[in-house]
Amino acid sequence: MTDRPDLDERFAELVQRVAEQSTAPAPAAIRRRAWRRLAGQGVGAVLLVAALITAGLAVDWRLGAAPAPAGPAAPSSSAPPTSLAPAPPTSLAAVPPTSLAPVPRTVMRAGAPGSGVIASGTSPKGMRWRLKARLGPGRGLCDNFQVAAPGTPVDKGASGEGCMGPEKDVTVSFGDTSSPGNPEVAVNGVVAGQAAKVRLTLKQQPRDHRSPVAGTVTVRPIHAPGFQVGFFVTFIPVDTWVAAVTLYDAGGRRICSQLGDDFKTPYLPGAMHCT
Amino acid sequence: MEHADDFDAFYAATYARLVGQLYALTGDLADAEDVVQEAFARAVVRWPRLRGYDLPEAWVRRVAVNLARQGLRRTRRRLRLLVRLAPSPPDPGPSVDGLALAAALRGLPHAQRQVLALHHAVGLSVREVAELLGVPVGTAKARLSRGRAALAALLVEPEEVDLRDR
Repeated sequence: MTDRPDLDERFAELVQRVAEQSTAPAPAAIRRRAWRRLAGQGVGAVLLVAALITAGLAVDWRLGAAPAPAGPAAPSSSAPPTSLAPAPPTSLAAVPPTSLAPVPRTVMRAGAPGSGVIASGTSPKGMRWRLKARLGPGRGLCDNFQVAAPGTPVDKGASGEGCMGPEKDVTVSFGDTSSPGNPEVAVNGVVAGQAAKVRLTLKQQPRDHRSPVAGTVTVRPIHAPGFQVGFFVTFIPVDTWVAAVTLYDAGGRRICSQLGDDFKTPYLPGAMHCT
Repeated sequence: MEHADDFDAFYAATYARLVGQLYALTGDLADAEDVVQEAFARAVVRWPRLRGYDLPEAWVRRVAVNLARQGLRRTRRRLRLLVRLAPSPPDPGPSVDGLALAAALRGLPHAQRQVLALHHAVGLSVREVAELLGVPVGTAKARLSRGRAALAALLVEPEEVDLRDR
């Protein structure tokens, strides 16, 4: 049934069926889309340069950070973050596959209390982001994350809102956001309890235990008045996925960790209660 | 003007086919159309160079496939939010749902689906698939083999199941 010729025919039939249903927009629409894209890139470049000149300190790359844990349960280094080093982006593609070399980190800056904005900032590659949260009646904690490609106002970027609702035993909940053309993937989440540091282990094949670790990223959650949880935001390279999450307390002791394989589905990190 | 006419003809001739191929990869018609349109938007500004290629369609397809791979993350985010909020309603999808293959592909792990679609729907060789995905050729072959086996199980006709049960 699924030998090569048969599969080729079936796929050809599928492609043909979809093609018949698809309606091509006018070529002029494609050209408009192209010009919008070019215009956005041009404006983005100008804004990025201006932003780096006037407020470059909003970006914090942590280079030369914590070394790899000695064992699977070893806590990570609690070395203080390197402050405000506008170093060039570190491409994981250049990192040896088995290395636990440090990867870029984003330091969150708290927003004004009561404003609903937990934090906002700019990623190392110029992506603008903003995290809002509120306590929704009957829905528990709700957060709204917005992220936009370089040169695009954050209000015009991708956004998504989720509520914790009945997941009272959730220890950490996170998700990632990207879209075609974005240079990085934004990862944002919520941690409960005393987690003072979140370490994300990245792989290019997150479901394969044998695949090498591509890198780690460590981020310190921030707490906002009125919320019992910590919030974190960080950015990872587009060709990597979060394969494991480990939480540490303020003393650098490991609280718990969760492997990617234990997530509910390969592409659904979702919420988890790790022990 | 001549360039513009060239592009329009190329676009009209290849758009639907590319959407069909990308649908096999993404499983979502809207996503497939989006990445193909974005790929054409990138192609139109490079058209004076691309028109000299033997197969400019291959360039557009490659860009669309890469965009589709990146776009999966957006889907993941959406899934996460749906889980937080409530069970998601079934996505009606396009009417190609009636095709057993479309339904079966949805039941495959993404890695297997990706390789199957790139090899059988897009027409890339195993080596090209491996190169595109950044995995060893052996890995691509293994995924292809497992994907075919999984697809075979999912495409088993009900009659065959009945016969086995008896």
